Amino acid sequence: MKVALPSTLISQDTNKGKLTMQRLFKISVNGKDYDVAVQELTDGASQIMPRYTASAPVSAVSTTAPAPAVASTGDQCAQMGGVVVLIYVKEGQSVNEGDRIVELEAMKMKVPVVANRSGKVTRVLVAVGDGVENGQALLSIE
Amino acid sequence: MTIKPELIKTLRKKREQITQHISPEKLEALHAKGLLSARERIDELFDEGTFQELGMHARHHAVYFGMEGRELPADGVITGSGYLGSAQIAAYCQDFSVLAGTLGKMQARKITRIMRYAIKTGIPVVAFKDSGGARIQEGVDALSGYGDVFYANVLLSGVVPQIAVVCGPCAGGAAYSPALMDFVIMTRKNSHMFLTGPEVIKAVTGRTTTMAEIGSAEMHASVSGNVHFIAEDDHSAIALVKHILSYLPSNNTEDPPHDLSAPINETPDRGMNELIPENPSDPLDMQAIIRRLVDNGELLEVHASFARNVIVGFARFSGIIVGIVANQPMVMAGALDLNAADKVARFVRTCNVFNVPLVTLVDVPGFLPGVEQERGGIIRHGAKMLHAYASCTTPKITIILRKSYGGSYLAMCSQELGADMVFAWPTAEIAVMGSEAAVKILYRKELEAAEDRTARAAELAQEYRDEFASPYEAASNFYITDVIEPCETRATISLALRKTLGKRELRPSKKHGNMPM
Repeated sequence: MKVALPSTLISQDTNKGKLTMQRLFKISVNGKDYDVAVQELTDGASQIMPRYTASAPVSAVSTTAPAPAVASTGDQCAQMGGVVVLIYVKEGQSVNEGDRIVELEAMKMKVPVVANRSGKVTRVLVAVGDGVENGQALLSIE
Repeated sequence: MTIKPELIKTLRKKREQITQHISPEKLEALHAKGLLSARERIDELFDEGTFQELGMHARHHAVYFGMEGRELPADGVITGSGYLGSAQIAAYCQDFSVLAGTLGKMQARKITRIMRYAIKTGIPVVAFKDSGGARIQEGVDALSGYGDVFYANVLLSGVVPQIAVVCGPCAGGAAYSPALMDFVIMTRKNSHMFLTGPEVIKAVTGRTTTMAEIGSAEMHASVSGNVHFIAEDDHSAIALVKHILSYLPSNNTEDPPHDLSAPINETPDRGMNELIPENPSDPLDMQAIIRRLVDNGELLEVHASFARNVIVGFARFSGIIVGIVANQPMVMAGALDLNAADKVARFVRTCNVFNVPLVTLVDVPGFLPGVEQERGGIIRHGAKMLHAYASCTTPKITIILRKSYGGSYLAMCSQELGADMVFAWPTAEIAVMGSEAAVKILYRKELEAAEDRTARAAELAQEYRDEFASPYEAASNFYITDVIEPCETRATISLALRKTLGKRELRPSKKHGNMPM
């Protein structure tokens, strides 16, 4: 959530007793903009008054980890969630289609990840010990 | 008495017009793309001289949009039956060279007629789908025609095998006919199948897409699961049809063509041991195991690129035809997920309707945990497996190779789900849940009090594993027929199949069970 504050309110030394007028704010939540008016009360607590009701409900700000990077061609992705236990290749190394490139552990089993194409490893995106999600890119082969 | 020569002449002329309407240049262009003409497909499918055509002279009755008097050879579909060895097969092939193979009322009547012939005579149907869709000039008659074909597909379902070969376009409602059949083959380069094409998707959703993304053979075989097999071209598709039919009976009242004269080789196969990793957390390659067990290493994999965490397909054990269902620990640890459950349930039901015995090879860590799985309805999907296995009355032999935990133990055809014989290797771990998770519940208080909780948990897990994660706990409770050495597996399965082939299981009569969908 981003809040764009009017510059006059950023300074906290404003005399709060005198600040009774409403101030307009533009608040952006998940990419949606909302106009709100704020009035400071005498006890110093702020009250947010909706001035414009958006058709979509304001959802809580997501606290989960950012979604895995969108896979591009050449990205080698995890087929299931798990923990990286072994990386067989280094950046710059050539691999053949079908080679084992990474080993995950999931459900007490070692899960091999094999290259779906031949080429050179351009980027390794994970490290041993990392938890990865289903579909997350592990490394790139060009 | 002699027949007037002009009568013969007229017949010959009509036959020629209907069967030879494609110019040699056009034929050559088709062949260059890996395509065959409709008549060539039919000729290649059947033994020479055995095909008899039904309704060669049938014509449409459309009059609007310039259709009146229009000559459409065989109304764009060749229908009939012929022999493949000693087995009669019914077939039809849409002819793309005739008004793009579009379907109108007469074409639909021809198709449903050959299908009804197939159900009367109890023979499989092979359908070549190569059509631009509904013949719009015929309006609602074309729509009705599709309805008639779908109804016939459902009528035949579970009575005679139905195989669809999509070897050209198969778009819109037409795509539901293959979907209602037992097996769908698509040719890799020349076919596509979808309900709504890229233009409609763009108009309705605004999203730009490609034919490959929504309708290619590759996509349907690996992502949507609509297609069971990919063939490189028309020749290999026809070869594949013959291969599939070699595992199936002509109809639901017959047994598959087992070779009961084949001897059972009882020599222990020591090489099996080398395929089993020492460490239980190292994945075993089930493909290698299957190919070592079955006759000539031949497995006809169904849905080979879809839900690869399970393997299903047809093979033979000492001459007995079986359907194999096996976990593949090399992919997703062999865990069962939404698609795997659908794949297994569908295959088990296919085997059941055509009296094919089942061999289930188990090495499964469990159902895949996850939010996507739960929200995707893994309960409903997993239930299909239970329903399919429990409903199946063909001989069912189960081998537990290594892991077999919790719900997935049951879902992989345990004795409770109706397995006739269950064999376990000494490496089998059969338990209600994994050792680590079990000790956390069983020894919660003790672990909370322990000084080094991790070490104590590991110690208890090892004790639990030694005691319970073996085949002997299950065997002592008589949930296992016997514990066998891996080298005895092939002979054990072969013998068990011979003995259970005559199995009879009578159940209360009902319309049909209500399988979760």
